[in-house]
Order: sequence, then structure tokens, then C-alpha cells
Amino acid sequence: MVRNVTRRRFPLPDLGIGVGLRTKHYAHILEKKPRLGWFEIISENYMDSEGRPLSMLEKIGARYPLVMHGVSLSIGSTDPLDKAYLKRLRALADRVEAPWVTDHLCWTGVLGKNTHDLLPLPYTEDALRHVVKRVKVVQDLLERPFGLENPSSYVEFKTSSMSEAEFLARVAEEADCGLLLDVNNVYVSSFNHGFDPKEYLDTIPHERVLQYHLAGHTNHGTHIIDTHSDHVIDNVWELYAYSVAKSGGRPTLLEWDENIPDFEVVHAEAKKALDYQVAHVA
Amino acid sequence: MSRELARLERWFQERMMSGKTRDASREILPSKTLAPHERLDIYADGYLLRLEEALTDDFMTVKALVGPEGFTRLVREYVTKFPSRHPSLNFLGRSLPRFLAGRVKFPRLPLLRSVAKVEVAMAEVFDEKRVKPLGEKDFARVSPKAWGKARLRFIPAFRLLELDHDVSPLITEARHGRPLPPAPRKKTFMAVYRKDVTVYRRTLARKPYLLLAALASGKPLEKAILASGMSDPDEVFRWFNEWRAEEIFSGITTRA
Repeated sequence: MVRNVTRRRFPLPDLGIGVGLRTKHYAHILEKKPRLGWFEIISENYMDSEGRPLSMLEKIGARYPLVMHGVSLSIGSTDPLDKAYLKRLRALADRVEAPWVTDHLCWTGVLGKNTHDLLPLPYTEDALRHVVKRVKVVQDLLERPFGLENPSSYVEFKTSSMSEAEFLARVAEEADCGLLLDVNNVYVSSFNHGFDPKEYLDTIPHERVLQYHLAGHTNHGTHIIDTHSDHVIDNVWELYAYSVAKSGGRPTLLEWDENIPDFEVVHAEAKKALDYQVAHVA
Repeated sequence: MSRELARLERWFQERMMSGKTRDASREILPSKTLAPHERLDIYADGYLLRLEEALTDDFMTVKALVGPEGFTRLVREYVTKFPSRHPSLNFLGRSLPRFLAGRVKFPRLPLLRSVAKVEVAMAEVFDEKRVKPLGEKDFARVSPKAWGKARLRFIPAFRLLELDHDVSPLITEARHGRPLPPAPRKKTFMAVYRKDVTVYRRTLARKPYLLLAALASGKPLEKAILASGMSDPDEVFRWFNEWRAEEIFSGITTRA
């Protein structure tokens, strides 16, 4: 099959297959030391907690590479960037020697409040300029590759003048940042908004993909919610295969956040990604 | 900053947090299957569910006392007055004692206030900064003559509480999902602290509490002992060894 695999914009180590680090699995990981390329941590769970979370991070980080994935950067918010937050984010990245750091193309609150949700942006020229400017500031402060993840979304704004894929691609190009391509989110949003997921992937500059995310979701018939609560469905695996054929093998991570099963189940699901990489990357 | 983007974000957040989404069609397109307000409701519904789930983790006893429906109401009222302003959801509940101290109507409110104080202290010490506690050698370096004027510093992961109820058995049972025992109204003193990565809570007698409180306020040991009313040197010695072993001290200043 394929393939004109794109050259990487950010020459980073291919960490292989990873899993999102969750408290439920701490004991298993420390005892069994599973063969795994890396773990991804939710940055905010470790930035301001120096008890058990930090202790676990040090033990697990001594054995596995750790990549940081945030949920509160709020890159699209019209509140000023929280410099104190960024300073703590940088400190954690230095501490765990994170090869790269990611967050979402979204906003999480305004007027100093945090809704703790990944809220959608209107895809306008105005919002684009705003996000690009802020990504540049974040990259300067972090001094390491930074990537934005495409979010799952449930609304579309009347004022949007371009597609999400076009917006994301332009942010990445104009701010010269990386992308965390969540293939499940592409599928979820394509269902909710009625767009073609392959067209979305065709628009993404694959040379900027730092890593992939895969997850399960909950289909309510009228809409899909990105719950990270189940196995990855076949349609999402197909999109993953379609995308890695363009990008080449990239670090790929499985997220599982609700009804979290035993580590072996999560690990086995994550390892399926290797089969797709072997089959679809030249 | 873009004014139009700022306006839209404020509009969206206000509707999401209040759940008043009827005018969603002003800004949001319908999908093939959902009306604009139904699409916005996904965010509004998720908002409260997510915050309630986060608060449940820290306030199992509060929830057990007010019941599931009461807890949902408590969360709604609490986050309206004290919305999250921290990047991490782990900090959302830190103002719950302040909220419960205000004009609110919940059954067994005085007991809820005592329980919330303890559950917040437990969450705080779980997250607090890690510092190296003083070890036996550190104490041995202090000359016997200097002890009277010595001031002790506590690790950040240490809290002293004065409560109106004996809530410790209640918290233990609630955290194991077992039936709640009675929590009599009784002046109670408690230390909540983290040793290594484990959070402990200990109910204290009045004198040891006063001694710890005096030391925590910066009094030198001699004056702290006087303030506590402890007069038996053996009792003080025993007390001191016990707390030293719990690794709650992080520094000693022996200058006057």
C-alpha cells in the first residue's frame, strides 16, 4: 500500500506505542513493568501535587519516557495567557524531561473561570490570529516542541468561515507548531457535524504530527460523545490506517478514562496500533 | 484580543454554566439530528456532571451525609458561588467550608461544616509541597540548653483543626461505603498530615493540640509548653518523640 510518507517537521524520537497514565494502573506498572514505549500524563494532575502523584511520576518516569498532555492551557481563551501556569508547566516538563508537550485547540474558560471542558472555537480569521499569537508565546516559554490536539466538538458556530481542519492546519503552519492528531476525535466530530473524516485528514499537514491519540467513545444515535470509555471502533482504526499511511509511524497513544479496565486490556488495545503501522506504513 | 471572540466566549460560558440554553440558535447551527439548544445542552449537562464527579472524590462523607440528590444540589449551589479558577479540578472543593459557613440550607449543617473542614484538609495535605522532614540526627544536633528557645517549623503537609463534632469514625465508615455511625457534638481536635505519600488524621487531646498550635504559631518550645498546660516532663518527652517519628517537623531555629 501507499505511500508518500511525509518528512517530519519535528525530528523527535519515535517512542512507539504508549498508554495514558492513570492512577488505577500505578501498582500494576510498578510491579509488572510492562513492555511499553511511553506514558502520557495529564499535566495538571502533577503540576500542583507533590504527594503520591509526584512520587509515582518519579518512579514510573525512571523507567519510561513521559510526554505531557494538558487540559487547561486554554489557548483559544480571550483571557490573558496564565503565565504562572505556564511557568509551572515548564517546570514539570523540565522535571520529567518531556520530549514534547501538548494541549488542545480549544478554550476552557473566560473571566478567570475554568469550566474544565474543552470548548470549541469559532473558526474565523479573527480567532486564527488570536490562537497563532498565543501558540508562539507558549512555544517560546516551553522551549521544546509543542503540539495542539484537534478536539471533539458538539456545536458549530454560525460565524465560522472555514472548516476545523483548515483552521488547525493554518494554526500549525503559521505558528510553526506540532499537532497531536486524535483520530477518534476526527471521527466523533465528523459524525456530529456531518463532514467527511478523510477529507479532514487530507487537509492536515501530516509532517507536523507529533503523535496520535486513539480512544473509544459513546454513540447516542443522534450524536457521539468522546468518553474514552471503550475499545477503539473499526471505523476509527481505518482512519488511523489512512492517516499513518500519510505520516509514517508516529508515537501513538491509547486513552481510556471511564470504566477503566485492567492495564492488560488497555495495553492490548494500544498494541493493535502497531499492526496498523506495519500494514500501512511503507 | 478579539472583541468578537471575547463576546462569543462569554455568551457560551454563561449559558453553559447556567444551563439556560434557549437562545442557542443565535450563535449555533443545528445538526441533522439536534437543535442548537440540544447541542449546547451537551456542554451544560457535562459541566455539572464533571464537577460533581470531581467533588465526590474529595467529599465522600459530605455526600454520604446529604445523599446523592442533596449532593447534586450542593454542588450546583457551590460552583455557582465558587466556580473553579484553578487549572486542576483537584482544587475545586477547597472553598467548600467557606460556602457551608455562609447562608445555605442543608440538613445537619453544623456536622457538614465539621466534615468538610476535615475533607478539605485531607485534600490539601495530599497535594502539599514535599520537604525533607527533620530526622533523629537533626534533633540530636540541638544542645539541651537551646531547646527552651527552639522554634519548630512544620512540614507544609500538616493541618491542625478544631471541630465541633467527633467526625473521624464517620469519615472512616463513609470512605469504606459503610453505614454512618453517629457523630456526637463534641469539641474535637485533630491533626491531618502526610507522611511519605500517605495522608493521616489523628484525633488529639486538648493539651497536645494546644502545644502543636502554639508551636505552629511560632512560639518557642518553652512558651508553647506553658501555653499547652502540659506540666509532666515525661508527657512532653513522649509527645515529642511521637510527633518526631511522624515526620511533621521540617526545621528548628535555636536563635532567641
